[in-house]
Formats: sequence, C-alpha cells, structure tokens
Amino acid sequence: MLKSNQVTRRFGNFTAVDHVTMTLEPGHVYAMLGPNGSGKTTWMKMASGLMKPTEGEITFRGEVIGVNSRRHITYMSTEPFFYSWMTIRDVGKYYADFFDDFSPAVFDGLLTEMELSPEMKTRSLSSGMAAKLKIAATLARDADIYILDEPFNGIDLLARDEIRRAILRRAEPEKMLILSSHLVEEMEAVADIAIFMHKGKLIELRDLEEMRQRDGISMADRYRQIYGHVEVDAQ
Amino acid sequence: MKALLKYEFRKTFAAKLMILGIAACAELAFLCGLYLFGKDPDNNVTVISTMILFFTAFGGVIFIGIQSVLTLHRDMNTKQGYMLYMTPRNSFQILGAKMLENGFSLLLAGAFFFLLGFLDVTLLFQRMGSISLLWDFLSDMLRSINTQITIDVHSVLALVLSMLASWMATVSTAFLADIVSAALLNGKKYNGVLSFLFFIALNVLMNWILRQFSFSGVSAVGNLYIESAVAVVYAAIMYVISALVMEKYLSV
Repeated sequence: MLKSNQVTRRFGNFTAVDHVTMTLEPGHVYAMLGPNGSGKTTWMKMASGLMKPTEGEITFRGEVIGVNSRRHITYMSTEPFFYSWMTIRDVGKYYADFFDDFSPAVFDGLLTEMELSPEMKTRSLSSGMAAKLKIAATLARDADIYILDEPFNGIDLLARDEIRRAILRRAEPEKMLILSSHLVEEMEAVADIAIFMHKGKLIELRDLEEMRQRDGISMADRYRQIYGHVEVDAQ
Repeated sequence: MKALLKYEFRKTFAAKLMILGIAACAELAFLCGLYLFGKDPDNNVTVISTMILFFTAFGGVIFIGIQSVLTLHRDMNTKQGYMLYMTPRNSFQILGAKMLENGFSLLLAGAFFFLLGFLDVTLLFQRMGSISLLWDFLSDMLRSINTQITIDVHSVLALVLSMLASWMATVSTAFLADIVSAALLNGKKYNGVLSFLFFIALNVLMNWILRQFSFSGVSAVGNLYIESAVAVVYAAIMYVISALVMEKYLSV
C-alpha cells in the first residue's frame, strides 16, 4: 500500500504538488493524468524517493519512502537517465549489481523483443530506442510498485504496442503500476483507476469501470470534462 | 558498497587512462632522450620530457580531484543522477564510495608518480654520473615548497603524502560546498556565488586548522605526518556533514 499524506512540494514560490492525499493499493494499474505542470512527475519522483516533499510524507507499507522502499519501488523517468559511457549490456549489469529483484534473463528477453542490441552505446540510441531500454531495464525488476513516467512518450505506434504488452505482463494482483501519459486514450486500454491532477492538486481518483457503468463516460471523456472547464473544484 | 565503488571508478576510468597515456608517452620520450641522446650537449628531449612528466604528475593529481567534484556535481544536477539515487543505498554509502574512490585514486596516482620520479632520477644518476646541477635544482625546488625539508626519500615521501592529504581535504570541502549548493541553495539567487564563497571560507578554516598542528619541537618531517593526519580527519568530518545534508535535503 502506498499512502500519500498531505504531500506538498514547493520550488521557491511555485507549488508543484499541493497537499495531495491518496491511498493506492496493489493489484491496480493507475493512470496519472493531467496537463503539463499538474504535478504528476514531481509526485512520482517523491514516491520513488528521488525527491523530498516540502510537507507531508509518502509511505510504503507504513514506512516513509527512503532507502528501503527503493528495493521495492522501481521508477522510470520520462527523460533518458543512463550513464553515457554505458552500453545496453552495462545497463543490465548495473541493475543486476544493485537490485536483487532484477532478472538478467527477463532483461535479455525484453531486449530481444524490442530489437535492441546489448553492444549498443546508450549515447548513440535514438529517442525511441532509449525509451525501449528504459522500459526493459525497469520491467526486468520484479518490484512491488512500478512508477512509469510517460512510457509512451516520443515513440512510434508499433513500439508503443510492444511497450504496452510488456507493461501489461507486469499487471499482477500483488503489484501496483502507476503510469502517467498525455496519450489518454492509450492509457484507457491499460489502466483501471485514474488519478486526475490539476495545478498540483488531486482532483479525483476514479475507478474506470465504475465510471463507465455509473456515469456512462470513458476516461478520455472525463479528462475533457475536467480540463476542458476553466475552473474545477479541487478536493 | 562494492558495487558503488566499482561504478565510481568506472565513471572516471577514461580520464585516468588519458593521464596514464600522457605519462607513458612522456616517459618513453624521457628514456629515448636519456639513452639515445643523453650524451649530446644539445639534447632537449630529456629536459622537455622531464618537464612534461613533472606537470603530468601535478596536473594529473589535481585533475583527479577536480574530476571527482565534477562527477558528484553531475550526479546531483543531471538526469544521470537517477541511476545513483534510485539504488537502495543511503547518502553515507553513496558519498562514502565517492570519497573512497577519490582517496584511492589520489594515493595510487601519488604513489605511481613518486615511484616513476624515483626511478627516473636513479636512471639519470646512472646515465649521467655527476649531476650536481640537477641535484641542486631539485633541492631548491623542494625548499621552495617547504623550507625545512632536505632532499632524501623519506622527506619527499612525507611531503608527497601531506600534499595528497591536503588536496583530499580540499576536495572534500568542494564536495560539501557542491552538496550545499544542490540541496539547500537549489533554485536560489546567487547559488553559485554563495556556494563558492562557502568553499573559500571552509578552505581558509581548513588551512587555519592545519597551521594549529605545526609544532616547534617536532621535526619538519614529523610535522608533515601530523598535518597529513589532521587533513584526513578534517576530510572525514566534511564527509559526515556532507552525507547528513545530502540525506536530509537533496532532491535530484
């Protein structure tokens, strides 16, 4: 269980995340949605332990996010982050050296599936290849929580299909996936719960099936409703 | 810790290889000069290669320290830092690996260039016989660094050790200033200037502390050893403060 309790992050006078409180459970794929600057990436970085909240705290199984939670939570940022001197094989070795739950066999399988050669230098990868490598390294861990920031960003349709398949294979009852993306319709096929954020605040957290049954609208429709309006009531 | 150390060495490997390459070329030129043109009164190869070796040794040791600070800076201020800070390692381990890597590298480089220098001076003696001029030059050079030092292997070793320890302490000060800049002053106006002033102030403090441990009743060599030990303790204190700041305040 991942609990965000009144989490706030400020950068000078700018509040990127504003008192976000929510509880996320395993067995779900969460779609974190919102326009640019809504605080998705900042919240994700705090949940993965890379950034410290200004106020509030995020806990995993009752323990404040820190060194220990990094053993169970894996994060993929939207930007490439591998050391430029590394080859793809080095990336696999690096993950294997630091994470007990990393499977070199799964990593190799994902590389083959995504047509990436282990000998390639990370600095020579195209943006699409770098995105695939990020996914392969992240999903080769058998973590409890996968936090993927914009996993479909800047890649073609076929590569998106490969990545979607790889992500869905990780959607197991005891695992939790949190994804952010601007491709709302793409996310609808993957997620079962939507987290709508706006200007750093949590707008609502909705079960998509319940929303479709009760309100008769899709996640994309709800997105249009929320962000298409000028003013939205926050929680 | 082993994995962290391994990757810290790997990050700086290419630059160290470059220093080694320059030293190898200069040494080759020195040996050629010594054995092919050694008796030639107009032989400049030995002189030039000796100068290159001398500057590579000093420059190399200084560069290793600066590179260590730059690597830390990149790890805190670019996306590559995610690779380091997403690992299940705390700030004491992360920074500890960086400081150990830097310490080992400085000591190895120091030992390497000391032995190389010792070997080259011995060869020079053997080849050229009486080299009183060179001897006088080396003695003068050493005295310009420390007036109480006489030229013998033990004194030179103590001097090299104290210079390395002081440089290590300076690098640890730069670590703290850079961490304060990234963790506490990030996004603030005049961040760079403030952290640089902080670095200068800490260096003044360090030099003042080192001066307090120079005793009149102790030999020059003894004082150098004491100074080295104090510098190492100072570096350790900088490490603890840096790791605490990093652990509590750093966001990447």
